[in-house]
Amino acid sequence: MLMKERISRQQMMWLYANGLLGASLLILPQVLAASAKQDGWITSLICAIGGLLLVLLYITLALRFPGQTIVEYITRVLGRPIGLLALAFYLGYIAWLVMVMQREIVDFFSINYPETPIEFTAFCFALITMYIILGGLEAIARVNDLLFPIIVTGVLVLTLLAIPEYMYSYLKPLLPESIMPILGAIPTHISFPYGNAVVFLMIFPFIRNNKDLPYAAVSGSMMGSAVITMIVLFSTLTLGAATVARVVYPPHFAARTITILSFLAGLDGLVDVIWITSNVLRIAVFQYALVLAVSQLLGLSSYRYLVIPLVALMSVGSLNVYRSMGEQIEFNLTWTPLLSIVPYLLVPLLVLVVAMVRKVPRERKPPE
Amino acid sequence: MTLVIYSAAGVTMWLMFPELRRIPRDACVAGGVLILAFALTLLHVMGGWPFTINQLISGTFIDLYKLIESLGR
Repeated sequence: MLMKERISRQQMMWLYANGLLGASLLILPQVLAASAKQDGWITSLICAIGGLLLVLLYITLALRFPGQTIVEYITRVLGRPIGLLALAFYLGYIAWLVMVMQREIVDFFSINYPETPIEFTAFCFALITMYIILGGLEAIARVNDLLFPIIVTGVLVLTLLAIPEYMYSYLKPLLPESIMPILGAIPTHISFPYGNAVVFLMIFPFIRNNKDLPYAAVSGSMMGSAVITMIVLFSTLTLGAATVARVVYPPHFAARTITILSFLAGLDGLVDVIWITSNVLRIAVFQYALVLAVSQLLGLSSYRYLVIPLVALMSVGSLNVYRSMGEQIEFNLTWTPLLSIVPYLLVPLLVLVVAMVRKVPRERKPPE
Repeated sequence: MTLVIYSAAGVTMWLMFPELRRIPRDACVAGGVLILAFALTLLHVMGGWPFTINQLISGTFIDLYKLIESLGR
C-alpha cells in the first residue's frame, strides 16, 4: 500500500502529546490517588522518565526502518509465525484500547444524558470517527493543530484559576509510607498512557523528514507528561487525595469548586470540553492506526475500504468491553499493567534486538 | 451461533459459486468485517453476549497461567 500522506514535525509533536492525554486527563488522577495517594504527582514525574525511555525505543525502531510501519517489517524481522503472533498481540492491544476509549466517552455522556441509550451515543461517535478517519492522517493532524493549543490553554487556565482554592496541606505528608506506594503505582501509570503510545509505530513513518522524528516525539512526550502532572496536581490540591481516589472523574469535580469573584463558576464544563476534544482526536488517531495496520496486514490497496466496517466493529465491541466502570478500574489495576507490557515493551524491544542481531536490511526488497 | 451460521453460509456460497472468487480482495475483506460487525450488533441487541471482552482476556490468561503452572509441576 502506497502511503502518500505526510505530516510536519510540529504536527507529529502535537499528535504524540495528545496521544498521551485523552482519557488520562479525567481518569488518571483517580488511578494515581488510589495507589500513591497524595504522592501521585511524584509518580507522574517518575513515569514521565519511563515514558521518555519508551519513546526513545519507538524512535530507534522507527529510524531503523524509515518510512515503514511495524506491520511492514515485523514478519521480515521475526519470521512469519513469530511475527504474526507478535502482530496479533499488537493489533489486539490497539483494538482493545480503541474499544475502551470509545466506551469511556460513551459512559461519560450517559452520566449527563441518562435517558439516552448508550447504543445511540456509540453510534453517533462511530459516525464522527468514520468521518474523521476518511479524511486521512493529514486532516486529523490539521484538526489537532487547531484544537491542541485550546486543550493545553484550557488546562493552564484551569490550574491558574484554581490557585485560590489550593490547599497545600493536601500534599503533606510527603512519602508517609516510604517509597513503596509510588513504586507500586509505576507499572499501571507507565502502561497507561505512556505504553499506549506504541500505536505511534504506525504513525511515525508519516513524518515528512525522518531527522525531525526524535525532536517531535521527545518534545511531544514531555509536553504530554507536563499536562498530566499539572492535572494530577490540580485535582490533588483542590480535592485532596482521599476524595480524588473516591470520585470517578476528579478534575470534573475539582473544577466545580472554582469560583472567581462570585460570578465565574461552573468551570466543570470547560474540563468536559477539553476532555471530549482530546479524547475524540486520540480515538481518531488510534482507530486510524488500527485500520491502516489491518489493511496492510491483509494486503488491501487502500485503508479506506476498511474504515466503515472496522469502526462499526469497534463500536459494537466498545459496548461489550466491560459491564461497569468498577469492572474496568479493577481490570486496569490488575490486568492491564501485566498484559499490556507484551505489546508496548516486549514486542518493540524484541523486534529491535532481533533486527540488530540479524542485521536485517533497512529497506524493503524491491519486487523482482 | 449467529457467527457460525454466517460463516457457514459464506463458505458454502464460496464453494458453490466459483465466480464469487473473482470479487476483489478489498471488497471481500470489507464485506466480511461488516458482516461480523452486523452479527455482533445483532448479538448485542438480543442480549446474547455471555461475557465482556475484559472477562474473556483475564479468564483466558488465568487458565493459561494455571496450565503452564500445572505443566511445571
